[in-house]
Amino acid sequence: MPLLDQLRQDLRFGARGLARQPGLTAVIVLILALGIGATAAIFSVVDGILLKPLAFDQPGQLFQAFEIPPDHTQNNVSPGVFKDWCTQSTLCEGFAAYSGASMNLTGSGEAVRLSGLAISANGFRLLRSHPVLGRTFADSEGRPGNNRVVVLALSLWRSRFGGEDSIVGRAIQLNGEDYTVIGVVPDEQMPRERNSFAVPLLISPSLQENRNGHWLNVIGRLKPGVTVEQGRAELHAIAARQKPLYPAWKAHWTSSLFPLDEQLTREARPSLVILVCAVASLFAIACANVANLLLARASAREREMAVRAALGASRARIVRQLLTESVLLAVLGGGLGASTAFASIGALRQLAGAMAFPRATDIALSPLILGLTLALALLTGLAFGLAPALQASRPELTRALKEGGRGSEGRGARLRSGLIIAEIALSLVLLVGAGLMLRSFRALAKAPLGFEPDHALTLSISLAPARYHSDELRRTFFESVAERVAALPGVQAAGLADQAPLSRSRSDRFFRIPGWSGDKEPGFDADYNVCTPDYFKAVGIPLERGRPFLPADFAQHRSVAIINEAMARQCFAGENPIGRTIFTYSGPTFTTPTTSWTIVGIIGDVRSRDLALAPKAAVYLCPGVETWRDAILVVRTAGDPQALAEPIRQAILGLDSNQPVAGVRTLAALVDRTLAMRQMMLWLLSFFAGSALLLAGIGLYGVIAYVVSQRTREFGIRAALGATPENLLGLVLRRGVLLASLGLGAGIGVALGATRLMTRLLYNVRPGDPLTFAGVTLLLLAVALVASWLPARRAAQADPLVALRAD
Amino acid sequence: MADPLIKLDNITKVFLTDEVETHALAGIHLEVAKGEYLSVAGPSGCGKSTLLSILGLLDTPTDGTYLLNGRHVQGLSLPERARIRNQDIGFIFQSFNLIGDLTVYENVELPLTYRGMPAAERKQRVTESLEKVGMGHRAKHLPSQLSGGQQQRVAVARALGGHPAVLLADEPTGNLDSKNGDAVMELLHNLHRAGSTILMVTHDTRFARHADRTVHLFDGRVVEESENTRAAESSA
Repeated sequence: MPLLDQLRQDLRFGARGLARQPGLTAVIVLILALGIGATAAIFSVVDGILLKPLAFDQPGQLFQAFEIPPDHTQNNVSPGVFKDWCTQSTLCEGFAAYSGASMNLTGSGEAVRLSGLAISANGFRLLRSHPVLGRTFADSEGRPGNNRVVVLALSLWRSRFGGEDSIVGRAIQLNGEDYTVIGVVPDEQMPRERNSFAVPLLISPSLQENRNGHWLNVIGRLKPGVTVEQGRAELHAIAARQKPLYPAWKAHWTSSLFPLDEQLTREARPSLVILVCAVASLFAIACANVANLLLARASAREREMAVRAALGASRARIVRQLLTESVLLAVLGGGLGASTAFASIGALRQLAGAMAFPRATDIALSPLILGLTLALALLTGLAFGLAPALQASRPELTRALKEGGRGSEGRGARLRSGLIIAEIALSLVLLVGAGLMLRSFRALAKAPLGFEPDHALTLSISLAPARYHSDELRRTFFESVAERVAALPGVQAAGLADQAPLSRSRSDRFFRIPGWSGDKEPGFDADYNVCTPDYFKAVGIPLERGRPFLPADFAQHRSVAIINEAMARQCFAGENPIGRTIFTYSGPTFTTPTTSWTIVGIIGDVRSRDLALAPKAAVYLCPGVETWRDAILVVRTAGDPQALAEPIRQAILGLDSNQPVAGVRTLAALVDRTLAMRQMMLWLLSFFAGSALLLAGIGLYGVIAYVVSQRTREFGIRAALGATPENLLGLVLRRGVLLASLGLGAGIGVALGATRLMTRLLYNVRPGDPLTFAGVTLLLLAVALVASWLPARRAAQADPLVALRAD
Repeated sequence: MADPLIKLDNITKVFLTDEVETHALAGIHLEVAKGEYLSVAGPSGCGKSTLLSILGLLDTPTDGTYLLNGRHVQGLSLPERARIRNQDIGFIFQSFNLIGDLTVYENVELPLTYRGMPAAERKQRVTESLEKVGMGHRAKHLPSQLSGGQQQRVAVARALGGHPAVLLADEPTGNLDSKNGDAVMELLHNLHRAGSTILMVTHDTRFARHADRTVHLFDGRVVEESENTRAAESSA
């Protein structure tokens, strides 16, 4: 028969064989689809975020540089240190600094607040961004007087300016001032994600000597051939030279640099590594399950193969027939899996965005991933079809024909047992991971916030410097906003502050505290916030001692402060802080402790940075001497806070129709956003762990059911010899529990090591949490018992009459 | 005859298949005395195995009464029947029915474990039984390492280990060559001489004559009973 005809016949027989066992076929296809679909989807995420190179030329030379304080964290850079790097480095092609510069876009449709940044004039050239229109900054545009120019991100150009080429050279109004658009760059070539525009960064000559205020993000490019280690060593050397020059500020600090791509994904990397491990485990479990089912199926078909061989089929022909069936299964599973991955990629992109993963927009099911997925499916079919095919293609003809493949457990019993042990072990690892995330999440959700998130709305107001050019104008505007909003029906309190809790933007500064045991330069580093009298009431922060800010404090510009309990404990242990004076640094370099503040009250501790971080010492200043340009309005409402969003916006527009209101969120939403990453991780891990549990259960059931079917005669003989149904039930259950126990033992060992990867994601739970391990072990044991009990019931009903039936 | 060990009274067995009734046994009356060696003979399909399955409590009769050691056993629960099979009946099967994954020792020990017998006593019984059939030296072997005749000897040892009231043998030579078949028949004969009650089902009249008495079945009925002389000759 010609080869093509043979292949056609193999396909026909294969399809018919699969259709003859629709249940088994469906289970195998679904398991493959789950494993392959999840693997393709998660690897697409990893490819988009971690593996794809950055959109700049020679991205490997780009780095981000930091100042490293004594606690070894990565700190933003002070302008003085940035200047030192620019002037002293010989191994770097250049450095560029940037900082956030959100501005109000007015004069072209409805006023809107845009997230943008101010970057050194050389920034785009250093990155080697390629504008799609116009150009990027010239060096001269980094100097005062020439700096009213702006580069737009492609998405803003399209959405706000209709993608018209004539935008270049046109003036747009940012914060009430004219900026000339000089170019448009792709979003992915902006120096920082999710920024709609960039303007030149100006650092005044006096600020260039500041080595105390750390607010600059610094990126750079190494010269060709220079390694990261060499660049790092150079920054270390520069920092060492600074120490004797600035002992008060830099005695214990150093500097370092890190590859830009690694830095961008630093936060997301641990989560992604865990997800990759989880999905790889799920894939391994799925493959083990499919292998087990194929092995069992092949053993059960030993007699059929023997008949084929007896009729003259060659070994190659039998192998090809079985491989055709396996590949057919793999293609069906792979196709369904790839479709599932394709369908889920949009949701994953959104999920990654919600988890604040970088480069979330780069996530796509690429042709490469699709190809790999299909290759994976074919490989699975070949790998797990080959062993059973070879096994089934060399049946012991006489025995197989005579006994119909009857044995105690058939061939491959050890391999099947090994696979199920591995499945259970991997399931335990996944379940422990999900369990730890669950316990961590619950602990975090119960963590005391220190404020009342319900019935509170936050809005961001940023004043244009051109229109509100004096403290008095800004104070008057904000005062009017607070009054107007407080007068709205349903509003209980309205307060203004630099930042709302958990709003991702925090400020800290040094305070001199006379008499404090650590009374030395630069002083005590604490979070600080400038807020109006009603802010505490609006956020729901309780006053513990002293008094709140009074309207008179605000009106009369009194320099009064309220501290939190953490600061009271750390700086005034055993003393009464009320009435004590603290100093902030002022002057262009923030090195002169001049402004004094009198502590009038103590409030409770607030988790203001992250729910997982213990509250830090904090100082709240009354906007007497200092006031804001950007402020957060917090409104406490009697009912649904979202229902008041529009009335509040209208009240603000009533004061200034060109004043946009941005970032309208409830306080509860800010809390949820903080939990989002962990929640998504919890969901994904729970999905993988649940799938693994289901697959392990199905796998164990399949193995035990197969064993029972193979040992039917043995059970009958045992029954004939006097075994009771309970004896037989126990025999099978013991087998299931033994396999499960071996898997659990191996899994616990692996999990103890693997869960250390999760340390950074956990809160108040240790990676080796005994409660989680015990709970998961019991759960898997229970599943193993149920999975074994179902076929064990059949064993218990074994017919002793089989013993009398001759072979 | 004193109280018989086994007494069947009007035993019938009807199988229902696709609304077709098959009368496998029809009104069987049979008594087996303690220490007797009885063979049940007849052509294939005459009901021998069905009779043996009812005698061995592997199956239940459709009608009639079955007294074993003076106790009605036809209506017992599954666990109770299993207990009686384990304690009062020893089976010798045509296909040996040794469990391939267990050693010779473990195979013989198996019925005793279902009894909850202490390990030391089990060891003594197993050793004794294996010695009795001349297989003590093969205790650690797997069944697949033994010849057919040796496997049947092990099966006999397994049946003896529990000191059953009756040994039920189902075509014990059916899977053996004539030499091994003769050896197994000799073994049964010796056991009978030592006091065992044996009921053997066979289609081979040559082997049936090894028993004291032969019951002939045909179409589910006892059609003839005959006394045999072989035992007397042997014992003489």
